[in-house]
Amino acid sequence: MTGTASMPPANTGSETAPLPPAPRPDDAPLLEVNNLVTHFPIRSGFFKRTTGWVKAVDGVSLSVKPNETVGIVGESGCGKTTLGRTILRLIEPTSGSIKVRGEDVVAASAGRMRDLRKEMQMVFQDPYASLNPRMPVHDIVSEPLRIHGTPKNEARDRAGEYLDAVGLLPEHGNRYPHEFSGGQRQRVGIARALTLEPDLIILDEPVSALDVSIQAQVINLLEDLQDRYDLSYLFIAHDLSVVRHISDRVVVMYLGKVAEVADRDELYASPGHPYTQALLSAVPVPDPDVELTRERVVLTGDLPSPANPPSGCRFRTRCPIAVAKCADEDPPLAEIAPDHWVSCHFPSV
Amino acid sequence: MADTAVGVHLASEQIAFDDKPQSFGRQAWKRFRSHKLAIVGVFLFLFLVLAFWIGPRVSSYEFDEINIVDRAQGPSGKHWFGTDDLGRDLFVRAMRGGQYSITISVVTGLMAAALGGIFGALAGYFGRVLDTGVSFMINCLLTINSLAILLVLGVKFQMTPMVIASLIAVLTWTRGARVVRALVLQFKEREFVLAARAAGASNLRIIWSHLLPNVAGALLVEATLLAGTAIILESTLSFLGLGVLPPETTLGTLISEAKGAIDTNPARVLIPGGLVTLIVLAVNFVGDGLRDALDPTHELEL
Amino acid sequence: MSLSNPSSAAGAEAPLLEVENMSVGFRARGKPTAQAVRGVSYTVERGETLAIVGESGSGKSVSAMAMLGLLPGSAEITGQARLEGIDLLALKPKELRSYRGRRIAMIFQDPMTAFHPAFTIGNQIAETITVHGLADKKQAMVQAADLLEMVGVPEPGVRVKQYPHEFSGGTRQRAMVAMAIANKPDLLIADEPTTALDVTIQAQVMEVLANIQKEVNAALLLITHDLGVVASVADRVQVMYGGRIVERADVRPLFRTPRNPYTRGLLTSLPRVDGARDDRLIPIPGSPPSILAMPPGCAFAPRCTFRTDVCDERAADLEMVVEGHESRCHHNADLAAWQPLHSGSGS
Repeated sequence: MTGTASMPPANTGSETAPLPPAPRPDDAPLLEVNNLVTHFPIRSGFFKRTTGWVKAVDGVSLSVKPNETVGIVGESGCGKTTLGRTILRLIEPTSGSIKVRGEDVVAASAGRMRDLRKEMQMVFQDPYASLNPRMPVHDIVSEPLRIHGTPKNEARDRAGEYLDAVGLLPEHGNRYPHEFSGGQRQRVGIARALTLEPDLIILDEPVSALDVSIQAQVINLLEDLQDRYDLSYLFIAHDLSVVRHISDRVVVMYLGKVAEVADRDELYASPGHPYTQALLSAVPVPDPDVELTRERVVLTGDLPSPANPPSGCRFRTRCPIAVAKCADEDPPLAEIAPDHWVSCHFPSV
Repeated sequence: MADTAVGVHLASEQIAFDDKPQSFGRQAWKRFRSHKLAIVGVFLFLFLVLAFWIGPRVSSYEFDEINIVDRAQGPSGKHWFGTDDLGRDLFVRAMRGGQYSITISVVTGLMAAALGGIFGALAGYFGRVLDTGVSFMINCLLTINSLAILLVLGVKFQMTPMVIASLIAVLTWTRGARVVRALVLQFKEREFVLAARAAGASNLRIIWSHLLPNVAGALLVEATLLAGTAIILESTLSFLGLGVLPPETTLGTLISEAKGAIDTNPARVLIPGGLVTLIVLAVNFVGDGLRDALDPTHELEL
Repeated sequence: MSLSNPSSAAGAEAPLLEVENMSVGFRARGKPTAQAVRGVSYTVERGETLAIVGESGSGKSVSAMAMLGLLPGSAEITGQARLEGIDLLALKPKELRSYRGRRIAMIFQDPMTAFHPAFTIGNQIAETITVHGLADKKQAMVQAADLLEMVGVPEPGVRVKQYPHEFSGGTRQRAMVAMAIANKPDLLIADEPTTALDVTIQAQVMEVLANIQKEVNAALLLITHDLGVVASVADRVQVMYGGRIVERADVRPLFRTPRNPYTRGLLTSLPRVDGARDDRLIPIPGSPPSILAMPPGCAFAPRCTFRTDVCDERAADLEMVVEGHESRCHHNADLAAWQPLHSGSGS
């Protein structure tokens, strides 16, 4: 079951360029991000000179295996959205490499990039802003196919199939986005991401704009689609409960860097990084009995600016266990247990 | 609680739809229809167009037919709007002038909207050097007095209606460009544009099928309001003697020619003046209606 | 109605706030009146925390805004909202203003829009004190700094002279809490106070809010969609759906033995950070109704697995199912046999 397994609407072969140069072992990562850096210039003054850099993503490495869901959590400003967009090259990286089945996305030519885009698609947060209000739904869903040269009628038929797959009626395709509820719109956005039959979908806060009673519908849908189409997910969210539910592995980000990576159960059961511990304890549980007995690590202070991160460990300004060493040395990401990586001088084991 | 388990396939879900898909255009038309002044504006405009183009055929006079015997008369059964100093029938001349005034305003509106749309979209979308350049042009054009430029050019060139329309358009497209640029800047960061880019859409495709449909409404409103401005600018030019060449006429020229007769025959000024006012009113009513109907905030309505 | 009648509170002190049969409709040109709140009655006791839980369109915010006269002119409000016997809905705007900020204070979701960008934070906190004539300008500025200190803003003497944009989101929300408690109000209304904040900041602000509420002994009406926040701070909870209260109980029975199908559906559809629900989620099908197209009977009926014909015909009454636990459902009797939900701590 590598990501090359074909999807139900069958006629893929002809326009998909053969991507992997050689057969790869089953556990070879589908996506490999190495030391990725995305800095945005801060321009000011009349001549728009660059006076500084916002270090949105500052040396992130991660991988996603076929059929795996990797969750990325962190608070606003930690760079998780920028990371997702950089992987799709919606934002150009400053340095580092992004490899899809071993092929470097950053170095790809414009033409090659068009083909590579079929491998990775994205679902966005805001179901109101992510659909063009002037387009009927079947045009929205079939547009990716049209861009890649599928004839109009065929593209429309396929759009109907995917609308069905996400639980909408194909005959509603001639409706406009504003006629649908938030949850239904998000389904449309998911259908659009499916039409190019990608192996990887980057989901950027796909349920956080939805009503509580709708979130579970969309989460279950995503799980079903993953099984049906052999998808890998990079699931970006700030909601640790949702991430716990859907992820196989979890990456915790803080100020543009990875603080901790581990398998889901390991990370939630024994978080190694003080930031992860604080995050987990801060999430209120919808159960008064549990809330009564829980100990909460309340962090002091606010997130520092990513334009001017603290020296050494970036978390030290809010860290309850920081010492002098933390200001001097940036702790490397180290393996504290099998497949459990923590970037802290004093991880709890 | 096992019986509450529901699959993800909610195709059976009742979605309360009206009979027809509610495209933005259809909704906008509904809103426009309920805007009373706008409908008045549309009918007034249509009435004026019909009058200006059919009127001269009903009359037995030609617009340049000189009839010295009947010169400088007030309105009468024979000459409905009276005659000028050369005895030309002012009804026919007013209708003829109205034709030019309306043509100039419509052509100006379209040309200015096209220029504004193209430059505004390019500046907003590509940004950087292009944006700096277009913004500089816009600022330059905003600081200069378009009337003064028109006066200078009017002395230099033969003023045919098309030349007048083009000149006014070149001097006024900046309004539309600024509106379009601002909207494109806002829309190009929307997630649906990112989604198109993630699917590999070209810049041309993004501008054409994602951005322009979303700014077209605002541009149409600007074009309509510009058409009103154009009529007034044209009248001013004609009044200052820099309008179309005689014996052709526009409403502004008629007012200008009647300057001396304001005491003896005020109708000669009031009639073409009133017609200019009516056209501008009609156009602005329609513009207001369009603005309400096409206001993008209506999208978010429940 | 008798449930919220003060006389039933057997000799106890009269409640601080009594809302009786409040309805709010919005009239738009060429459209049917949108009924956002449909006959809501409840009481708030002194010093207690009552949470109003609901999704978008449930009417949870509108009902509070109506009390404070903060709705647009197109709103048609009926019913009563009595603060110690005075009906706020019957007050003239000028009279109501003397209550706002003094007896009742509001904490909004977005502190950026609640503060005026061109005045310093200290100025604006002082203003809420001086406008009610409770101190002169100089005293008020001193109090403003004290208040900022109370809510844990570091260096309050410096921060009072700063403008809202110089505050981070979390600090700004603390400043809003400081402004709200400036006149020691009896009732604090917090409308999604932490929704715009990150979880670590949310934890800070909720802690401050809970402490300060105890300190000034104010009642807190907490309006939120976040059941986790409710579980951690509320004494009592009422759940709203489609403009009506569908369930009301003390916080523990509500979470442990929810009696309304909607509440129960919400709780079982939520993933939990403590892993108490790692298997497949059980979602509520369908979407919340639009206030422009409310189902004729029970608003939840189209999404409910217990729906019968009577549900489509008329809405049920809010009935007492157990002492202190009310639910609005035609099938209350059948649902009494429901097993309690698993508690995460128990498993």
